[in-house]
Amino acid sequence: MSISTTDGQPGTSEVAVRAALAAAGVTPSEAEIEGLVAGYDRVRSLADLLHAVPAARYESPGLHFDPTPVFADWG
Amino acid sequence: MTDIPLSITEAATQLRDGSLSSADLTAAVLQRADRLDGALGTYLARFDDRAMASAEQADADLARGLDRGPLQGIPLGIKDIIAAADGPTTANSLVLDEAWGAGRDAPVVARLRAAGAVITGKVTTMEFAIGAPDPSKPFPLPRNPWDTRTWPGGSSSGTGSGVAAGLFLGGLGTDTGGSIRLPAAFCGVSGLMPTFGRVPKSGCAPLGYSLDHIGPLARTAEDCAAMLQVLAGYHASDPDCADLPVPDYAATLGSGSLEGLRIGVHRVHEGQEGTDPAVIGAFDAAVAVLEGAGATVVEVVLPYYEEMIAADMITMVSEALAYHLPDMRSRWGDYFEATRSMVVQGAFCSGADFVQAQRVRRVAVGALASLFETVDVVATPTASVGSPAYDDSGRLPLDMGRLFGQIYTPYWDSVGNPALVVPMGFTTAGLPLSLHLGGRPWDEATVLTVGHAYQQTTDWHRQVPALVTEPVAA
Repeated sequence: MSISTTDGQPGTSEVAVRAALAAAGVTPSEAEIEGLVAGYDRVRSLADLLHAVPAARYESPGLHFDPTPVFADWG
Repeated sequence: MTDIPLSITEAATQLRDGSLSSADLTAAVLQRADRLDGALGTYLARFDDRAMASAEQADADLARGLDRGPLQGIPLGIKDIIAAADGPTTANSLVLDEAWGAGRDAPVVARLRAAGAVITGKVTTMEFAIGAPDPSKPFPLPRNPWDTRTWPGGSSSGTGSGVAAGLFLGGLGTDTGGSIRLPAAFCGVSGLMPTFGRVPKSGCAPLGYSLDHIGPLARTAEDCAAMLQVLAGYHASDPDCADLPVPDYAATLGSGSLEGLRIGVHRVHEGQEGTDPAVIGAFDAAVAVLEGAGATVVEVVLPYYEEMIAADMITMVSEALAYHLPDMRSRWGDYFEATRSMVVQGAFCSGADFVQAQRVRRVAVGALASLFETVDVVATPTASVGSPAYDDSGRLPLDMGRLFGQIYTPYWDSVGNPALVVPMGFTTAGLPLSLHLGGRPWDEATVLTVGHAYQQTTDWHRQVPALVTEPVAA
């Protein structure tokens, strides 16, 4: 999706990108934002692919929180 | 000048039969680095003095009968996102706090040292294991020894180039979407991504907490087995590290017969735009070698293939942004352009997207387990292309989306199974091609057996770039 629509208004993806970047508190250049719009579209298509997997409807994510305190450093 | 053995296994034999000392071997690889590293950009930091001291200690220990195993006296490189006490870790970045890991060995480095290995230095990586090289930043551009106009792959770039050029005989890499296997593939060496949790990843700057694997790059599958033997095993500092027994990988390598083994072949590369013309023939020839060794070959399709590519991306950028957000807010410009443009995409994912990726990973793990009831190993090419070239400005014209479509590695990071890559030929332009072997969880032994058997019949892994033997132009 191009960074602006034919009437010069920002496209939906560009609006979403700018909002996400503002919420994250980061400051890419305008040139970078243009590239990130394409990245946004790709990420959303990937997420949509995952949300459309029927077999995952009742699957658990396998994220484990272990309340047992284990304080082991490395090195 | 000392001849440098091609492999860890060959060097280990020579160290024990007295035809080579670790001191001479280490001096030789350091001299080769003096000659070639300017052209290759392999090293970020060299530890010459300490390496020579370690080599001399290894020789003294062997002389008095103290044998710590095949890594004793062997020069190894460490990817510079893994902490080593010899010097600071940079993650190939201006951003990483110098104090992080200072004076400390990650558990994997401590294990290599305890095995008598000689740590020669820290080697180049994509910034924080994700950012493509940036010529505007004060770090060397890593170059492929097979054609220095091209990239050695990443993110374990220096490890791949260093092993291929013989600047060390093995090294550590990390893999989150393919970062051990891709540089091994592009540089014509072997690389092993162990099962997630097989090797402790504490002491390593993270890219994807649930995707990161530390593993070896080396000349052969046998060498990778020797390194894994030392690296693997529980460490309490890594909550993802499995407390499971470590098999004797050398004992199960076998002598080259694959009788009774079932190889599933997924022709993911066929019909893809941009595939190098040599890939199909090279892959078919590799499969024929495995069949000739006694394996039964069947056609398969990896389940949820596109979904696992998606899960790797969503998970990686989400986990990476969590780690990097504070620095990205205050030091955006200090990051490589490619790093920040990739990691910030975590802001485009919701929490629900991330959790959904983990749910689908669980679905795919189950489906893949069903496939592994019918086969023992799944074979694909590692990539459908050879290493890409830098442009005149020193940048890689990398479209990460396109690249993810041309490499066949991220699937295995998402499911967490082990995977080995071994050289299988060359592209039409003379760049290395690679065979990818995926296995069951915790069954590194079988993928190593298959890779070892392949390397008993072929000699792709013994090919050396012309750069190594030719004079370097002034």
